[in-house]
Amino acid sequence: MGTLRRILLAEGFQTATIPIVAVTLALVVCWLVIALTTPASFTGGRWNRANEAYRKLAEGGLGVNFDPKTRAPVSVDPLPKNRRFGETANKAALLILTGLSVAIALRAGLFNIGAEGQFIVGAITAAYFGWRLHLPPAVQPIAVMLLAMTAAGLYGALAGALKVWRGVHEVIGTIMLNWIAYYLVTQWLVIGPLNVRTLMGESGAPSVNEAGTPEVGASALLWRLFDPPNRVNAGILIAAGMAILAWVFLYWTRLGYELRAVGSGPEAARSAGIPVGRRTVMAMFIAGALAGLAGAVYILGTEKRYAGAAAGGYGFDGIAISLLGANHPIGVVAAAVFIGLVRAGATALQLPAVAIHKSFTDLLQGCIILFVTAHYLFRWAMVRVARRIGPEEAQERV
Amino acid sequence: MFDLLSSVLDYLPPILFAALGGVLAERAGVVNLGLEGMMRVGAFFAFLVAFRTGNPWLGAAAGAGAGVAFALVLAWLAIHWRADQVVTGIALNLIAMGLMSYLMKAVLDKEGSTDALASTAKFGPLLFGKNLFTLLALVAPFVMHFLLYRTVWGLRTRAVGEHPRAAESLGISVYGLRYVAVLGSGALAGIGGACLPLALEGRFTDHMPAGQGFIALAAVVFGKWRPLGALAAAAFFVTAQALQLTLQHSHVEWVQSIPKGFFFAFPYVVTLLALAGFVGRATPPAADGVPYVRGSR
Repeated sequence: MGTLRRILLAEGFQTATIPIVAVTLALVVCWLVIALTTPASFTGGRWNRANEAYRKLAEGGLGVNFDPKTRAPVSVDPLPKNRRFGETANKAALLILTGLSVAIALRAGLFNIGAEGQFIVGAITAAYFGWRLHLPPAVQPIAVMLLAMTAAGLYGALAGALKVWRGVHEVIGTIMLNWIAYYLVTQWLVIGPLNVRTLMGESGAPSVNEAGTPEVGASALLWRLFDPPNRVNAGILIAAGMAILAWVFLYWTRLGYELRAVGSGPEAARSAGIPVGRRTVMAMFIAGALAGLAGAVYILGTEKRYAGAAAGGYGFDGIAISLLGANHPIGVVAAAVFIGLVRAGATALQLPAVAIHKSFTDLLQGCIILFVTAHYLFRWAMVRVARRIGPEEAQERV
Repeated sequence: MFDLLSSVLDYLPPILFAALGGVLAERAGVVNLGLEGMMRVGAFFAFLVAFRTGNPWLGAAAGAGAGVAFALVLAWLAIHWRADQVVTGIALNLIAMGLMSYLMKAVLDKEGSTDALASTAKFGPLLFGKNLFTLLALVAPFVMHFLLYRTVWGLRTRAVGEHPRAAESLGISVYGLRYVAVLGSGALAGIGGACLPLALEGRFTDHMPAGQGFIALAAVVFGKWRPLGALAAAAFFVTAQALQLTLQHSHVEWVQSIPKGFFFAFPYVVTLLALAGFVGRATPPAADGVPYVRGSR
């Protein structure tokens, strides 16, 4: 029993289990929401519908079907075998990058709510230069991605600079920058100067109905790993590489150390001779560049053009992923794969058998964040349990 | 010109009520980033109740109640459990986003937009062709100003947001006052949301409130965390939006050539400039967003 008590009180154990507890609780809450909102007329009953919904979610995410009785994976139609994990991998790639964006900023003590806006800036930059540049196939995607990273990085750095030199809190700053990017792109660029008709020199004013940039050149597209219809592209490799780079940068380089020092205490960092202001701007540049890279991968990997409607959500998802992944590059990858799976699976929820609105994933994600944020609550609960096991040694850890 | 003023008065209440809610919570030291989500739940439940009962008053009450219920989650986690206020607000926005679309499908079997309310289930013109919400919106900032600056409760609430430890040492309940402020904030944001279906649109749609909660947040900051400042800021932002609608139908060529994205982005640019000190300096309450631990030093 003493061992169990020590485990429960260990900081590492608490940090590692909280995401799991949070996800489990969120799944339970959402399961109840489905069951309780099922109309009485629904055939099969409410509890079955909730179970069925989760089965569909898993099937859609994994790209396999499960036998309802034996729970074993069975034939894979209607999804062809080689699409397994395909959509999840593509979504996870974007989510890893936006998750890293938020995580690196948080390590520097900055809350980057702006990944969404930086994603948009990266995506529109990639869409334009993917169309405009004509380079050899091996060079072009890289050039376009670097341009997108630069543009989005500068957009992120702007929020950092406003914080350092004008005292604008980065949370408010990035929220404002998100909306500015959103409106300037959707209500101006894609229906105005960067619209397909404007760029192609066609006559007549572009209309909202034809919003969107032209398709990028074939040489700009990211390499597809498998034959069609599988859409898995090099994005997942890029994202995984970036996660490793981020880990090396944060924990094995001087700059990364300084960045974390700023995050743990700006005053101490300053007295240690670290240029806090410059590191803050740098952290926001890196954060912006990562979110912008996600935008570029989104365009060059699957979308081919920036369509009229906003390419939304991935930046905001980054917040959930970073928090769920304990702001650590490895945790971010795991969290991104999980959320990617849920996002990819959500499409299957809309099938008539369960007929659940696809916004269900927002609900699930919101609950996950909420429970992760409430970590003091769970730490307190663990301490309580530990005390019950052996009150004499258990110490308050909260 | 008269048309412009008229539409400003019509569209002012949602943003203004939410902004007043933001002022109240932040004055007590809790950042309410969930204004957008609270407006959304307020809008949905106001619609649902007004639609089912045909009574707009019950609808408005339901909207406020839903806002309070949502704010209770923020209050409990942020005040009691020292949860990060920013993250909790974001989570609540996401939950509101997902849950309301989900409920629209599950309860009303609608996607995208609901049916319209009957005209008797809405707040119609009351005075000078303006509805109840507009009239309330013109009074509410002054009431809030009075409450915050001329009552004991207001002084204490502001003290809790500036220097909670000093306030507690004088026997003031930091937690209690923060709870009241956050729940009041939820009620105001809920009513702000309720204006949308009950007075303006007559229905609930998937996009509601389409960023108005964030404009309200901007108005809190631009209005320098004061009720009357929030009124001025909200009026300013709403005018910019109304101007965009008016100008689209303008016959002046150079005006028409301004892309409408510029108008939409305008409030956010102004807020950034204001915060950066280019349009007057803005200083938030000293303990804004800082969790307080009872008896800490």
